Parts: sequence; structure tokens; C-alpha cells
Amino acid sequence: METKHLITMMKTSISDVLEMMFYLPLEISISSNWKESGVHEKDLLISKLDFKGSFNGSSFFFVPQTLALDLTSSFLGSDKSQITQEQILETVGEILNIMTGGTFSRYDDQTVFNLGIPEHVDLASVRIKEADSKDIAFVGIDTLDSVSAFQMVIED
Amino acid sequence: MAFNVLVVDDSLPMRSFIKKTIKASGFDVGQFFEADNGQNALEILRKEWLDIVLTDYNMPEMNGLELITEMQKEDLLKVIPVVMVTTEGSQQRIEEFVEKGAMAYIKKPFYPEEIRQKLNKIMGEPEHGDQTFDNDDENLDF
Repeated sequence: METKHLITMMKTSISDVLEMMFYLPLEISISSNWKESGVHEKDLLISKLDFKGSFNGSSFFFVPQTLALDLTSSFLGSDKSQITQEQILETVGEILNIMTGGTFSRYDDQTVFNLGIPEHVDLASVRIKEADSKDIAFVGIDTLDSVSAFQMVIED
Repeated sequence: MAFNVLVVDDSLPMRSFIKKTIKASGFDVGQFFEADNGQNALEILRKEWLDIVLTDYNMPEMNGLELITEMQKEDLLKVIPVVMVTTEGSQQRIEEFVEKGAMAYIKKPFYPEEIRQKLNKIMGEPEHGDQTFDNDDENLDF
């Protein structure tokens, strides 16, 4: 598994999903780990998705609650005041699902990667990318007023 | 002519997004039906008149490929066109979709125009309306 190539495909996938489906202006951060990215732990929603293919592991989408509400409102075409927390969690899970699928189809379209069902987890249960953790691919996402992140933890 | 459309996806937001996109695309919809997995989709298909099915692949209980396989076993259902709308992008999986009988494939994420283009190719171009897409005569939608 080539981490550098995987990260490139993760970046492309993030742009495709958030700009194409959500019309969200964003910049891919140059940060390569959690600490540098500036992701705030407060009010953070985290979706996790397991995958199996030529390598196995889990992908994660870290997104602040306020941005998650904006994304859900845009996705459903509903006013923010009408959005439920369940809709927000489902939308965040779906974004992760599409970003992960898009990453793998670009990384290697000859291999089938089976994706699980997105679930929501606490930060305490997640291994976050430190500067020296080589088995984690991390991409920070800067939007106008918040920071999100897309991460893949490779198990084998 | 208005078409009845079944949207099958375990994600409620994604079903809403697909419906919103189809409406915005100008495709003439009579009635929308929704199911959160293949099994529930089959129950709707056996009860209601449907013109086209858009289904995800990865769903609990019965996935999109299993849904197509079950539809192929029933004379009234096997003639209904099925479009896969999925994150799956591997060549092997796309070939499976074709072999099982899917008529088209839309990869998530997608532009609204893509949905309109595929639906109109399958169901026939509308006689009136503001068509902005190409009018080529390709049959292959993968």
C-alpha cells in the first residue's frame, strides 16, 4: 500500500464530494497530522467506516457540528431549523462513504474494496494521526470558518 | 409522460438528495417510492407500478445486486430498468452490475445533469423541455 498515492486520491475524493455535491468552497490543508491541522475537539462529530480489500482498515471523517449542519441542510435542501441530529449523523456517514469509495476507485480500480456501514464513534476510541504514525493517512480540510479531516487507519 | 421512480438506498439523506436531484433535473416524475434495502424494494415492486429503479449497492439485508437478481426471476419485474447509484467504482464490480442486468451506472458523487442524462436515455427523451445534454445514440451507460 502506497500511503503517498493514497493521500493524493483522498484529496481528490474530498474535493469531488464536497464541491460537487455540496458546493462547499474548501482548501486541502498542507498539514499531515492531527495536531498541525487545527481540528477542534469540541463539538466534533466522527464517522467511522470499515473497509476490506487489498489492504484493510477504517476510514474516519471528523467534522464540526456547525459545518455538519450546513452540509446536511445543503444536501437535503431543507432549512437548518428543520434538520434533526439523526439527519446530520446520517449525512456525515454518507459523506464518509462516498469519500472512501471514491478514494479506492481512484487508488486501484482493479480491486474490489468492500465497505461496511458508517457508524458514529467518540474521539477517545479513535487512533489519531501523530507525526510519526506511518499506518495512518491523514488529510486536513480547511473551509471558510472551520477545519475538518479525513483519515484512513490501515490495519494490514 | 410521468414515470414512477423507486429510490433504494439505506441512507435517508441520500434518498432525499437523489429525489431532490431528479426533481431539479426536470425529469417527469409521477410518484416517488423509497426503500432502505433490496428486500423492502422488492415488496414495493410487487405492489406498485414502477417505471424505473435507482439503487445503491451496499445495503444491509439485501444489496443492490441481490435486488437485481431477484427482479430477474420475476417476469413483471425483470423488464423494469435498474440504475445502480453507488460509490463502488472497481471494474470487477461494474462488470457484475452489467452481467446481472443493470441498465446504467452512476457513480457517487455525481452532477445533477448526469442523473437527468441517464434517466432520459433509458426512458426516452422528453418531447418538450430544455434539453441541455448531448443527444448521442449510445446504448451503453457504463
